[in-house]
Amino acid sequence: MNTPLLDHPLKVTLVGLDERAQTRLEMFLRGRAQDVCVLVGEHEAEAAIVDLDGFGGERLWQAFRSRFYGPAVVMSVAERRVHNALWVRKPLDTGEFLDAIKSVRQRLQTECQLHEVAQAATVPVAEPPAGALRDKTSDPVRDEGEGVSRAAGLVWDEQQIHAYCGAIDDAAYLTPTRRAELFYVPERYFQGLLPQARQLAEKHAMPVRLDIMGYTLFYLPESRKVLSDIRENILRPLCVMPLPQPSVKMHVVPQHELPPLMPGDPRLHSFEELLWLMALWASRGRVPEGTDLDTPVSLSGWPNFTRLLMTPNAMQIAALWHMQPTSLLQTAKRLAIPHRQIFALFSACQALGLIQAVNTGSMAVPGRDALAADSVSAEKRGILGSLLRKLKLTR
Amino acid sequence: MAQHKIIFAGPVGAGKTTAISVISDIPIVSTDESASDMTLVRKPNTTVAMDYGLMKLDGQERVHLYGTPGQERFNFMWDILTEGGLGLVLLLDNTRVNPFKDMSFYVGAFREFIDQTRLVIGVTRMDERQDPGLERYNAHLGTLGLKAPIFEVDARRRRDVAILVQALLYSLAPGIAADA
Repeated sequence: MNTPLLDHPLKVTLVGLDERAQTRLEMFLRGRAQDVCVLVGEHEAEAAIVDLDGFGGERLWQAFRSRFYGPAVVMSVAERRVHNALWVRKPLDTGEFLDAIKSVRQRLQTECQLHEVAQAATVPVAEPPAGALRDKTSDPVRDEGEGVSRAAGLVWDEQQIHAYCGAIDDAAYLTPTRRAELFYVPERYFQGLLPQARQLAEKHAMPVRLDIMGYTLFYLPESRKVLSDIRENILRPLCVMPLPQPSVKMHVVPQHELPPLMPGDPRLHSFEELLWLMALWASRGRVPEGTDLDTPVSLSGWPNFTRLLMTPNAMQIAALWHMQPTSLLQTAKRLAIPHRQIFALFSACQALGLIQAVNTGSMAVPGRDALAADSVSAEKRGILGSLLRKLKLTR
Repeated sequence: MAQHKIIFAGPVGAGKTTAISVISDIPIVSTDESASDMTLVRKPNTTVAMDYGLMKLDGQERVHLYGTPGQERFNFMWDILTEGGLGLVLLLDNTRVNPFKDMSFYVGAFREFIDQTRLVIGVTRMDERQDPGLERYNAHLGTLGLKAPIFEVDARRRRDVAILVQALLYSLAPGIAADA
């Protein structure tokens, strides 16, 4: 989507139009609509035009929407409110149609800009990641290009590591004059909005609609899920930048205003999984403002790693914090891993409420210094390492 | 050569046999029999002695995987099974009437072993029933004076079981590296 959007006719695909209707629309496009659109196949399309009144139109639209996330213009005789699409009345009025196409172009333009923001947020790291980070032996359960990635999986290539852990060099964490680089304010990001939406929904026991820069998602209190068809390539840029307040609207909506849901609807996401991703994207190796880098960190519970995206070395870090509260800076030193990985994990854990005040006297895991050389014999370390390698292999 | 083993415990139907089978390098040796008592309500076949699986590591090293019988009347075997074990993988079924009672029972039964090694907990069938959530399992474990990794697990998925066992290993030694 890097071609200049305003310099070429919009590439559209048609849904729900029979041959005759398609011919009529083509004539309309070539004539009164001044060739603002050109018809292409689904895979080339930047946008879609949908006829809801055609045979099976509604069903075709629902099926199409589950695989196409781009902007859409839906047409019908009767007025319709269609989630995440622009409605135009039939028979088509040239002015209304051209306005709708203009809105589609604006949305595509916004997507382009967001894409550039995301690109800018992914800059090369200043130092090579630890060997384990290049390890491609685990199985990332991801679904690129199909809406939001399934959150479970392991971050395993450099591009992903940058996206989730940032690219702040280790020196910044150790240089007092660069401390400002290490903090962010979650409330100013999309990350901060999602818990607010949940709070509002639970307070009123009604779904909450969140509109943000032309994109919409819903929090559903009953299932504790988020309904969103915002693709990852849009969601991520929305999460990496602080949001201007006027661009956000949040309000409760009655149940009947929700888009219709299908069984196993791919637009439904776990709140925790989505918030986890949002926190990683927003944090990129930083921690919430006010975090004391020298205070020992402890977990009230492990992140649910079987369902959450696992950043590099996340298990080691969680194990250390679980067994022996350790400050952020000390964690990097003791585990000899990049600070940004530790800070990113901390921020994600914080977002999910897993960081707890340290009370070293209570519920200590039996034993001793978690990393002391004598805590596990050399022979046992060898077998544990071999077993770990085996478990990380895909099969 | 030292014998290394990991113990899988939990109530009937929690997925012990399946969990072992997805990470074992050999076909699981199981002693399933048709259930003839109240177990039948939850599972037509159940493990009456134990399950056995094996992970073959580099060189001649082996890790034995033992699944304890879910039925409490076999608990006389548990002490023998755990001897020399690396740690305990406890699987709990979220659709059971009182999974916290199960947790208390198994933690109590294996307490000495847990104190000497480590514990991880996998909660199965959360797709069938969301509640109680993991935070409540964490809280209940806290009342037993313990902290341990607790994950949602589908025992049929190798990745889930592998993560569970990895957490056990990192709990034993957070500084361990896969190439150690």
